[in-house]
Amino acid sequence: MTSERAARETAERIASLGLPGGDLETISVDDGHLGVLLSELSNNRVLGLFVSGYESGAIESVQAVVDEITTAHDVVMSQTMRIEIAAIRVSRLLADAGIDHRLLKGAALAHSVALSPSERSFRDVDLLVPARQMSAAVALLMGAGAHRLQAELRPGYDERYGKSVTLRLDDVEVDLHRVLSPGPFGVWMQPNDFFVLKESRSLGGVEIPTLDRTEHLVHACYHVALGQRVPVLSNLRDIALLAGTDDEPSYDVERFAETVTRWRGRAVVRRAVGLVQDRLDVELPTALRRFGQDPVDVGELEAIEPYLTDDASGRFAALAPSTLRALPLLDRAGYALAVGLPDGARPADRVSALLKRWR
Amino acid sequence: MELSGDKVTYRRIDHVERDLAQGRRFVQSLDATTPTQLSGSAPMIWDLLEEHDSIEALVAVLEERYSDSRDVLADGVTSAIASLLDAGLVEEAR
Repeated sequence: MTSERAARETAERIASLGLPGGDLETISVDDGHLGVLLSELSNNRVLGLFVSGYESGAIESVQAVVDEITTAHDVVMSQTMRIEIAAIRVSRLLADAGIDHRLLKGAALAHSVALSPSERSFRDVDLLVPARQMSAAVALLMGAGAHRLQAELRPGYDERYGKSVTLRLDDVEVDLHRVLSPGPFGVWMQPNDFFVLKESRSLGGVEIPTLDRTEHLVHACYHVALGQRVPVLSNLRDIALLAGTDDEPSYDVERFAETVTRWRGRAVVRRAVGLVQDRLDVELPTALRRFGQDPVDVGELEAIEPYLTDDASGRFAALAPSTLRALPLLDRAGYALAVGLPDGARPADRVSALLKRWR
Repeated sequence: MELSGDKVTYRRIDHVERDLAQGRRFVQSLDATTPTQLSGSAPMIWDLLEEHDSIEALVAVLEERYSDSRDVLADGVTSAIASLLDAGLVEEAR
């Protein structure tokens, strides 16, 4: 077995610790290829699970490995806390300006779903903002010192077509999401559904609005299935923790099915469930497993394909044609113009962008 | 700074925190750029400060848990509070 494969399998076992139906055997981690293992645990954001697993006796290892991973975990926790403080600051700014929002992903899940916040690190702040308030939210954060990483393609693009706007504030990346995924599945979803209910989490003594568990589960499935081709293990673990067990399902099974079906996302859930079962040792609730096995519309299955490109930088181009097809007829010209001929570009750059985006 | 008077109470400032290996903890105020590491008995004192706001109250809780003399416990609590004040994690609330 190669050191990479061994490290991957160790990371998968560690990512499964404490999950329903998971392996209870002690995980033994030796000091061979420590660098490879450290990189695997770090990239999959499971350093905290190693630390808690070692302290509970679920993992046995030698001191050199424990020391190295403990130091790496300290660094990651320090970074995570800085990002959490940025999330609090951004949420306060938005709330004070009357801009509705919901905290997404790691920053919210660390305090609600993870068995301990120290087990769930995250690398940026993700917030869902209503499309009609996207421009105001971006302007607000820029007024507070943030800068955009990419200019808006054309005026109105962010509110009408964009998946998200990425800004950097206090050296922390902040993603303001209009929808939860790019491409056709982003067109088909109705993110305003997530502004009907309002959960909140207390972070640093501040109540931050977020999604409820069912909505987090929908988002986690979209993130895993349509994000990176090889998903991060902590994101797969989120799904298992959010779903719960047959005896104690932690989500609203009917609302989940209704939302995903209406959003034409059954293929998304099928892929997400498959990825969780392939890589983690966990027993997902029957309702979720069955939902993932039900027949899926061919159009949805075909729509998944462009998301699975190996070339991350070519993803936008790969998704452009299917996004265009998914859009209502009246919206297509505006999208094609913005993507093909972005505002402000020199004529030569526009032609180059056009060729690149529509190749 | 008065650490022994029973009129002085202490309040934890708004913060974020994370447990670390070996019973250590990172605590960071919302205004700080880096976390402070608490170790030894400091995380326990920090936790107790959530519900007990004076040295006297903290010592009373510790007396129920440990067999050390009241003076020894008071010294430890006073020292821990002084460190937390220095780190800007606790403030006096008279």
